Amino acid sequence: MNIKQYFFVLRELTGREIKRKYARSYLGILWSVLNPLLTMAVLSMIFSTMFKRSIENFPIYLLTGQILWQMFTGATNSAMDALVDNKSLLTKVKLPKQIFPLSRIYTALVNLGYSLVAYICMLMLFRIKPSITMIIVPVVIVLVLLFSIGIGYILSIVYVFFADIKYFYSIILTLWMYMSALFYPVENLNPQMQMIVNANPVYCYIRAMRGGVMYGQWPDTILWIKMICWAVGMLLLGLFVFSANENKIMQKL
Amino acid sequence: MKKRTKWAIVTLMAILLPFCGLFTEAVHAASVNLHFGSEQYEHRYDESFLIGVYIEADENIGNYEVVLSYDENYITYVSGAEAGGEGTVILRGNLNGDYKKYLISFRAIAGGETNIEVASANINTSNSERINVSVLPSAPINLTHNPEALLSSIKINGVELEEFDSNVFNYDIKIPYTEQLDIDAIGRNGVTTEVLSDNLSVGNNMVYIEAEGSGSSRNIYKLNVIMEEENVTEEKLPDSTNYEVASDEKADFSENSMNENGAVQIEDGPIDDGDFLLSLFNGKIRLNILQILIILLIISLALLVVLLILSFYTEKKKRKRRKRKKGRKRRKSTRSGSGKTSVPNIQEIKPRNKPVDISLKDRSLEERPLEEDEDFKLYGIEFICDDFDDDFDDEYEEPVIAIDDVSMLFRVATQNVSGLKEFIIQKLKGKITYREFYALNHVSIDIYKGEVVGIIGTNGSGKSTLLKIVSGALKPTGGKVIVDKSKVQLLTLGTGFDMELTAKENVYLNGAIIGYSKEFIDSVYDDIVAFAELEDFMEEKVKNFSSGMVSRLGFAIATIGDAPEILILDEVLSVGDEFFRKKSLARVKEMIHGGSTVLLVSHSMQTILDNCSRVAWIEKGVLKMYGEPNKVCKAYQDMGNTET
Repeated sequence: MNIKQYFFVLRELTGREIKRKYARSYLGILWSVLNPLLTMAVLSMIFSTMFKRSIENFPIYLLTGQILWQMFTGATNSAMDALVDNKSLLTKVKLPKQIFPLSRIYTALVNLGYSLVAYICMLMLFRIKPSITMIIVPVVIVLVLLFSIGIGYILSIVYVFFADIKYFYSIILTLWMYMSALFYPVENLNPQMQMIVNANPVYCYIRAMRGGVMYGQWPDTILWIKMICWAVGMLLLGLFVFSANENKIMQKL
Repeated sequence: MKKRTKWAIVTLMAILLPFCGLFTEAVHAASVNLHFGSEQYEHRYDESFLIGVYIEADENIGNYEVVLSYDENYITYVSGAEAGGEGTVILRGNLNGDYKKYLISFRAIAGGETNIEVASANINTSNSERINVSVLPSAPINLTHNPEALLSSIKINGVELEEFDSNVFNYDIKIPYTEQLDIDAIGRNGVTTEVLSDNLSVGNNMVYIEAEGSGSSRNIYKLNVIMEEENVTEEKLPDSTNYEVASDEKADFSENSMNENGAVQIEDGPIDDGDFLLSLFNGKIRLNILQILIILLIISLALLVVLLILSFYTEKKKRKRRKRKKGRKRRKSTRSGSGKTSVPNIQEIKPRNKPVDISLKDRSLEERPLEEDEDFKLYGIEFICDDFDDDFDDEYEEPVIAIDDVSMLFRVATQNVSGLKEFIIQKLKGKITYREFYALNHVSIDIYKGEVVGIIGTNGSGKSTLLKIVSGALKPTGGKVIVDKSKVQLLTLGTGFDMELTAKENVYLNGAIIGYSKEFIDSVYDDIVAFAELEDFMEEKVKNFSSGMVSRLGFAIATIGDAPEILILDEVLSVGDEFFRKKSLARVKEMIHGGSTVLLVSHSMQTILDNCSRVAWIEKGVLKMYGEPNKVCKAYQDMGNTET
């Protein structure tokens, strides 16, 4: 088997995930487009009428963070149980085990692709002028992807040994979301909080993407360093943890 | 069905679109930043000065009218815009742009503290849509006092104000309820005073005290008199001396001072009352929540760490205990000098020139936790002698599959622990014990090219585990399998079938997992369908299939490929109805006769006898017998008979 074959398997597995996810729903894959739109609508409504926000183009501000956040949580959450769910396959097939969490993350990427359709519509609706800095978007997405792969690998391994991590991780995600400045400007926080939020990798990615799309800015050097270090570091850590425990999993499963 | 979906999408979009429109209206309305040139102004009591007013919008502005209001007691308007009378200045016009700057000139006429603010702003875009200006700015003006017009004291209802300082101009005074408020201001030599106040009422009352000195020099003192409600103060009325004073020099700068503390940075204006999140993040609540959060986080992290350490610790202890036990056992067995086989002996028994892996000898303890248990090894194995005669002609041939001393240890928790709490309790009690069982216990088989080896045994005796190890899906905990993994193909039925997908999708999914390329599946797709006899069902979901149909499809996919050099068949021959079984048997035979080496697991003795040249009987993970099909099958069946 070569890389091409692995990619074929990956695509088939991803196809299965997506088809299965929407198998019983009426609108199917369209939910990937509708979901971020509707979430954005609800949140914009809440934050623009209940708490008066003073952010320009708040829905776009929100949606930019929202789609990245959705991809990150979608990828890591589903990668977490990838190994356990595919237990029967794992023991019978001599595929590299990395492929299973990876297929879940790929699924999240495909979902993001659909969400991007909604995003682009919204950009046009809000008359955001296209600028050259928008090419930052794919770069940011790739970096978030690498970061998610790292975390997904670690979680998938831990989940095999310690299923409670699932509940714990959902709590962490909630905290993490509020620390990612999805719906408030960081400048409103006090300096310590700002420091925490700025160190948050997910916020780094969101900031870079907002800068590129909404304000026509390139990320500064420090932000670049932070983004790349988080992505590569987490990926390497994930790969290390995964390969170190690969054989122990098989016994546990 | 398709049409209905389409309609659903259209209606949904139709519902959604006005929604989006609503938000663009509400949220994206053009915004205006209206502000003064400075955050605060400091001037002398008699200076003329300029105040800049800036209108910055993100869209073109048409008509606008902005009204500034100021306190006429302190400053007078000189020029720069349009005077509106009664302390107002009006800026208006028709601007065809998004930026306008006014410089308005004022002159101070008294010392004291006042401020200038935008009283109202009516700004329209060039399409004459009204722009909401949510924040009306205000800037404090600090006018240094005139030294010739200072007060020496202030008396309220005859009592002197204790905190009075002639250089402090603003006071907050709390007084109990009274009908009449008498404020006397005594100026320094030659200073005349005038007290200006509205009708006295409960609540806040602004009282201005103008002090006029020689040469029309003026200062203004501002008292904010807060009168308490009537019923509260009735008893206290007799001693009305009981008031509180708070000198409040910086009252007007409170916002800025907050800024310096870094708590809030007000760019867009003062905090809205309804701004819950902000208050959450700025006020006192924030600290508490943060502390609680951090404490919670630390507790849960600590819990996790403790658990991890605990599980590590008990693991280690157990391993040690096991080691000790093993050691004891070993000593015992050597002392008793029992004639059980040991490692070197086995290798003598084994058929010749098998490649012996040196690394086998120095495997770490971890990989083989029960290394010392070698004395249990292989007892009960009977090697059949004609075995050796059979193989005599291919004396120097290397085995294609060398299963060398393979063990597979599974650990299963005996108590089913669900949940963290129980886990901790059990862990602390040391009650979590694992049942260790060998799915395979030191099994060695050599298989040569062209052989068809059947594997028999009762359910759960480790046959499938062995196949998985040979195919490389599982890694043995001990021992080694030497085989060219790229040549091996494991056929199991319905690996990765997904019930929610259609048959066609499953063909691709399953094919991909087995290792076919997309092009290959494309080219043989019709053959697969034809062989499985499912032409009319390919677009249907597999969950609607009967189990026989599923396994037929599985068999068709699994066997469509070219016969690999080493073929491993796991229970694939007892599939479907009689006719299909015949058909599938024919296909497998074809593959076998193509020269493949075949490993075959089956419960059908007939299949084994018909196809195999060699049979291995595995019972409870131990290789019981290996050799000629008739003999092994007979022994197996005898065992079954004696047991029942």
